[in-house]
This record gives sequence, structure tokens and C-alpha cells, in this order.
Amino acid sequence: MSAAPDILLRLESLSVAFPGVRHGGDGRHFRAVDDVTLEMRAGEVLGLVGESGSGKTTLAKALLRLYRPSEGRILFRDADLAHLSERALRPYRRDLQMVFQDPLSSFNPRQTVFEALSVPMRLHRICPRTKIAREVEAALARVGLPAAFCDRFPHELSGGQLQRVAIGRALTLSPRLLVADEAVSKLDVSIRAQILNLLKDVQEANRLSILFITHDLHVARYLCHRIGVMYFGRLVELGTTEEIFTAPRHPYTRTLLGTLDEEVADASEAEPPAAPPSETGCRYASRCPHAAPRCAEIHPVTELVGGQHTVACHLWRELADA
Amino acid sequence: MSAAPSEPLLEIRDLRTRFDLHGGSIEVVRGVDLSLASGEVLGLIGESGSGKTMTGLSILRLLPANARLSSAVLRFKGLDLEDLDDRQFQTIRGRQIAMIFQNPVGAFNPAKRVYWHLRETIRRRHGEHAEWEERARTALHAVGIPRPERVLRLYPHQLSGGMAQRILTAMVFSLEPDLIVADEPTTNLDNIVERQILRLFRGLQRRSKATILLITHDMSVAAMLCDRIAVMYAGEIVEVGPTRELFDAPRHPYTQGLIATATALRKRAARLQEIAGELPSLAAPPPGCLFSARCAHAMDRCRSERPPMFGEASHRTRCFLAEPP
Repeated sequence: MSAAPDILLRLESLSVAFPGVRHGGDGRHFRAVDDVTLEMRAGEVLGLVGESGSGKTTLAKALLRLYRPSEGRILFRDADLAHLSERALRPYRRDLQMVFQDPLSSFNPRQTVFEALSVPMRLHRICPRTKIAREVEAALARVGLPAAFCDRFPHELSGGQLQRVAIGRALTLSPRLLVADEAVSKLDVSIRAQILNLLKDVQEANRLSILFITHDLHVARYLCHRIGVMYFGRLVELGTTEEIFTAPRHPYTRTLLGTLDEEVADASEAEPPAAPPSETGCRYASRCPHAAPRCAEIHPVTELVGGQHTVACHLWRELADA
Repeated sequence: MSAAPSEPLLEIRDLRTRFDLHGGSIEVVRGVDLSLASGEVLGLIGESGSGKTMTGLSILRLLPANARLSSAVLRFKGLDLEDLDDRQFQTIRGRQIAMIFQNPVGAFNPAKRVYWHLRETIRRRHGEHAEWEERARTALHAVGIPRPERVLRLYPHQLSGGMAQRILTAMVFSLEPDLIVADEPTTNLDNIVERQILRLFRGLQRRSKATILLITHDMSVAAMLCDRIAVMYAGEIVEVGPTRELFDAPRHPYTQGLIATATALRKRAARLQEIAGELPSLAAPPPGCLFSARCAHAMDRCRSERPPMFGEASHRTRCFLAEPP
């Protein structure tokens, strides 16, 4: 990566609150994503890891403007997507595509594969109508499926084949950013390897940026250049895959990596609490084996560890020495 | 792991489960042989469609109405299960054989609080007048729930996935069943919680000496808990052997592929090894080895002849490559 990588997209202090969902007695809105600042670079695969409920899917959906952010900005090309109207968003939509976790529910059961692939091409006027059939076949070929699949319906395909079609469909629009939300989590091990390899191939061939959401750090390591770790709506650590794996700084990241195995061994309290913990201090404080008094009181700011590595933890320096 | 006792707790030979569909039928469990010694944890590994869950449901007689079951031997504690009528079988299911399902929240009655579930379970095991409250608290303590009183008052929807699986585990172990069939007990849980539940399982199993048939698609889960592993593919067992041996020296190309793909992610490979292709259609299965279409080592013979099991009694493989010279 060069000294000044091209920035594709920048999230600035992005928050997503769900009005009506309040917690505790304090009447505040539940923030599924809380003050996240993050850059996506051209041609990079950025992994977003965390447990269910950590806000990674909400962040992705806000970025695609499937949710409206409550605060912050989404800087992409010449615009701030966070505040555009649906109509004004339209020209940007084809640049930002998504592949979902459950392939079957991301297709219309009454549409053939051909229709599923050709409708977005028509909507975005990708090519003249006469060329659509050829483009659809090319799209299938890119993801390793024969043209005979055009006439099939989603229920006739296996999970792996459907996920290939979903990737093919997203690529028909030549997006700049592909969001893959747990795109391999529901697949069997042998099929998972096929789809991960396919994602790697299309990423490299198209210099595509991928925001890859997963709860599995090993999968993230295979595919991602950088990894961000989320916990209860906050981005607690961000770094290159190398930095995250060789020198994780946040206690939560270490727990995820299993390096702190012993500490979670018998801690039933270490399960995610049902309601978001402390609004004021570090959200991880109630589960953290190292928590100091200030952790519960003061919100840790994001600090630079070195290189491209940032962490939001009061104690990272002390823990690094320990 | 002691030497196998003369009589296995569960013995299955040539188990076949067939579904009648309009116009035909498909056989999803195709002649499975399994035996479980008392106190043993056997992993049944396979991908979706391999028939592993159907094998578990067949043992528990929980199959849908259009399924037909046959077996040469289906013996539990010396009792021929196929001879029992449904009423007799109910004294076994949920008492002597218990099941843990993948979706823990779905296993609860959503209108009843946690205490109701534990009370019913404990009464089923220890009789109508059993002192259930103390037992319930003890059971919840054993699964790492520090304040049982609070949890007992909750409704199932108020539980996290991990908490629900803990409570379900407490219920199942409080039945003190002879056999537990656990179908993907941690698949829907997050990594950290999954690890905790697996550790909990291992601890409870060691203390209670329970016999467990663990159904999973995840090699690493099986590696953590199982004494032996049976690998299923397209309704057949293709390899069965001791866990360590199966991991160190897998003999069937499918097992080799599964282990390679599962470990490649942990080893930081430049490219993952794939098992190309997909499961064959069981409506019209190919004549020879069911894995032959995806197998890198397939010979002509593999495409025409169905391989039998080869190898020693403790480690057998359904592959001509394992045939003794």
C-alpha cells in the first residue's frame, strides 16, 4: 500500500440510533452504531468483526443508506450520503452493492436467475437491451456457473450456488464497494472455501473494495487487509490484519483471538449483557478482566498505537507491557 | 477411554431413512452403522444434506410423517427400539435419550417462564413430588449461571442465545439420560459464547460420564469434545475412527478435504483448498462411490462400484484407496 492510499469512502462520527428502542430507565435512544470514524480505501478488503449485536450489520446498512444515520457523515465521491434524499442517492447506488448472509432470502423466489441478474442491469441501464442476455451469461461465468443456470429458480440451487449468483448479481453493476455481510457464515465448510476463494479472485481482478463483515476472525484473516473490531456499537480497535493478529491491543480483541483464553474460561459474566452497558465509560468495562475504576467513568478515546493501528482503551499501554 | 465393553449402549446397523415424495422417494440415510459405548462422545460430522440430523432424528423417532425408517439393528441398552410402539417409546425419549437442538430458544415454550421448564423436567425425572427448586438452582449453578433466582423468573425471549443454551443444557443433564443427542448445539452462537458452551459441555460430560452423540458440521467442535468421529457424506458414513487418528491421518479424500479446509483458515494459507463441486442428488444417486464426482483420486472403479468399508475395526473407511493390497 502506498503512502497516501486512495480513500474510497469515509465515515465520520457515524451513529445510528433506533428511536423507540430505549434501554434502562434513562430514556435515551439505543445507539446500535456509536460515533464510528473509518476510512475505506480503493481496492482494499476491510473486515469488520464482533459478536452479534455489536453493530457491524447496522453500520453496513447505514453506509449503504438502507438505514438513515442519526449523526455523522458518509463521504463518498463528491457527496455526503448520510443526508441525501432517496432520489439524490440513486446515482450512487450502483457503486455500493451488498451480498447477504442468507442467499435464499435475498432472491425473489418467483424470479429465475436470469431475471434476478438482468433486472438491476436494466434499472441502472448497464448496457443496451439486446446485449443483456450476453452480459448475464458473462456474469454467471465470472462466478463459475454455466449459462444453463439462467432458467433455474432460487429453490433449485444449493446455498453455495446461490451465493455465487448473489456475488455475480452484485458485480453486474461494476460497483466500487461490495459489502459482504456474513456472506459465508451459513455455508458448509467445503463450500465456504470455494466462496472465499471466489471473493478473493473477483476482488483482485476488479480491484474491488470489500467491506467484509464476519464474526469469525480466521475467515477475516484470510481475506482482509485491515480489520476493525466492533463492540456494542463502538469501533474499539482497527489495524492491518498483521497488527491485529500479532499485537492485538484491546482486551476484547484478545478475547476474540483466544489469547486470553484462561480469563474467559469460567467467567459466565463474560457473556454479552442483554442491555448496552455503561453509556459513559468504556462499553467493555463490565466484561473486561483488566477494568480499572476510570474505565467505567470515562469514555476511552481512539489512540494511535503505531503504524495504522488504533485502539480505544485506557489501559492499552499498561497491557502491552504486561 | 477404556476398552469397549461387550455391549454398546447404542447399536445401529444398516439404518435407512427414506422420504416419500410425490412421484418417488429419496433415501437420505443410506445404511448407517454406528455404535456408542457407555460414556463415549461420538461426533457425527457432515455438511448440510449429509443425513447427520436425519440420523439423530431417526434414533429419537422424531421424523416427519412422510419418512420411512428401517434398520437391521437399532438397539439401545439391549432393547430393540423398533419393537416398541409409540407409547412405549415415549418412556425412553426425553428420559433415557434426550436431545439438544440447534436453536435453543425454539426448544422452550415461549409462554412459560424458565422455572416451569426446569420444574417439568425435574418432575419427569424424579417424580411428581420431587423437590424441584433446590435441584433447579443446583443445575443452573452447574452450567455457570451465578444468580439462578433471577433467571428462573425470565421468559425464553428474554434470554440471550448463550443463556438459553446453558439452561437447555442444565435441563438435559438434570434428566440424567443414558444418551444425549446434541444437534449443532453451538452453531448459532458467537465465537466466545460457543467456546464457553463447549467447555461447559466437556466439563459436564466428564463429571456425569454421559454418552453423547454430537452432530456437527464443524471439525473444530468435534475435535474439542469427541472421543471418536464418524464422517457422513450423502447419507453414508465414509470414515469412522478415533478423533486424534482421524485428524492426524485421515484416509477418505472427503475427510482429508474437510480437515484441510478447516485448518487452512487457521494456518494463514495464501489460498484455501477447496472441495470442488456439490453433493450428488439423492433422488438419482450415481452408481459408484457417492463422492467420486468431487474426488481428485477417483478411478474408473469408483464410478461404477460402491466401495464397502475397509480397515481395522476401530478405524474404517469407505474408499477403495483404503483397500488392503
